[in-house]
Amino acid sequence: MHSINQSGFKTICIKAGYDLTESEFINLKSAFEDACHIIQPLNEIDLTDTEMILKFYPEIRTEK
Amino acid sequence: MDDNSDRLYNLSILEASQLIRNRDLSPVELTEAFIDRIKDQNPFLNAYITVTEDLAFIQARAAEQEILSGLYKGSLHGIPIALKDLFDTAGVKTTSGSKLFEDRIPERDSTVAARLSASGAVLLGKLAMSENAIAGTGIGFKDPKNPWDKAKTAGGSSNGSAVAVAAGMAMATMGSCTRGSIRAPASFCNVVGLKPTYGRVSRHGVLPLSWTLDHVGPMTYRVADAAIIMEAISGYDSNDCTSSKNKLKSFEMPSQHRLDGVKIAVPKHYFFNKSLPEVDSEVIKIAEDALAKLEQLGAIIEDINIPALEYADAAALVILLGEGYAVHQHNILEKPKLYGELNLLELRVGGLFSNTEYINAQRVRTRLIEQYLKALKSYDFFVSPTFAIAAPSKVVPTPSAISDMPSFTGPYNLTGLPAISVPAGFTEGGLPVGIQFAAGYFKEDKLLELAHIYEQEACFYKLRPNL
Repeated sequence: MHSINQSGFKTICIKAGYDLTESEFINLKSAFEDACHIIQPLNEIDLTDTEMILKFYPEIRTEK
Repeated sequence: MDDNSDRLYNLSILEASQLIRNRDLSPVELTEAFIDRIKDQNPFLNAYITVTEDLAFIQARAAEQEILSGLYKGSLHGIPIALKDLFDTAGVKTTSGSKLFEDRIPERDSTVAARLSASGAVLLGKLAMSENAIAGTGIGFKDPKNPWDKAKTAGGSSNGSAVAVAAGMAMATMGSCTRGSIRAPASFCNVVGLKPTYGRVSRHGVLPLSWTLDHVGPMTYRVADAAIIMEAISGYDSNDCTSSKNKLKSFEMPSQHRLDGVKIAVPKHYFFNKSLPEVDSEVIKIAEDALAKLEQLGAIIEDINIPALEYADAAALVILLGEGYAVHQHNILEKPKLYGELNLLELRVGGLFSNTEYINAQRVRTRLIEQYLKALKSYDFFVSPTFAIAAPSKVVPTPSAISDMPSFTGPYNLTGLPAISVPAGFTEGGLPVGIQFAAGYFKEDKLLELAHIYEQEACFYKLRPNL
């Protein structure tokens, strides 16, 4: 389980523009920690040769 | 199980359309049967948000007159259908299951609604759904109940669409799917759910959740019925910038129910991983039985490795909630009280992901597409269970987007490949389980053919809930 520093999390919530009650803050921190656990593999995969090109086949936009 | 198999609401579209074309069944009589069924069952199942009874009878009477005049439009003429409540319908409330849109009445039809109407289909109403097609039940809305066990969830987010078909409250429905929202409820409710190729069916006039993952598709009783709906709704739409000009090949009923020489890939490392506590071994057993049936029909089944699948759940979560937050940012900051607790929580999480996480998620997606395309050089189809478990208890109202459970449907939203869920069996507790087939881009005709052949062999569609 990822545990995020409380003051650091408050900073990113403020940056996002969230106006949270205390209980909303606690629930959001817990849900975000769960999400960070699930997305952790994105920080582990080597993507050196992979660009962000979403190319469905056959290419949809070039058909027009 | 329902033994009222002679009831009109238990007909397939294929059966009803033949009766209508031969003037042995009136669209008005058929519509009446469905309206009566909705009045009888919807108070217990909550599948419909809005029932358009008056409109349905106007359309049914018009269809009847046209057919009597010799103007038969095709297999959907006079067929009662319903739409998930995020497809815009001119003059009919479209809420997205959210208090934000509880009084929203669009001026124009979505492309799908317009095409179904032009095909002569009869609109029975608008269907319940998870709030904003994510998770949870919107404030003031009711959660649909699973007709196989009302204590179980019908899944999400196209839950009303699945319940309506399973309970005989519509002959076909339309759902939307960002990570599995058509196929998962189809699996939980013993109906067919098809997510077409990205770009195959226009999303114009459909309230968005995630622009790069959203798809729309049919939910039906039989595979052939899904093919009939696809004929009506597919095709290029200049109003949708992701719409493809690739022409849909018509589904043809196979003359032989054999799969000799058909090559099917099964990435077992991801879809059949029995060591994961989140995966139900009973579901895996049913899927293995389905593989055995396919082999008996002549298919060649091979285990393959698609390494990027191990990163698919991470990528899908970031993209879904990240884009979902972008869609909802203004309303979340300005009107947070109009969101249900779970919906607001998960969208707010989406607003906290970093640019790097979103970009890396899309890079993973590129890699996943490359690996699937490589596999498609050697194989015709992919097979897996549709969902890792059968319908869970309603203690969790609708499945949360943030979950450790592997998504078996998500990889096909990430790749854009077409995929379909077909009824494949029941657990010892009597809950339905679906099998998922996927094919190459724009190969819906082949996908439907495979699904139809399997359906004919397995025959689980014949079982209807006892209501």
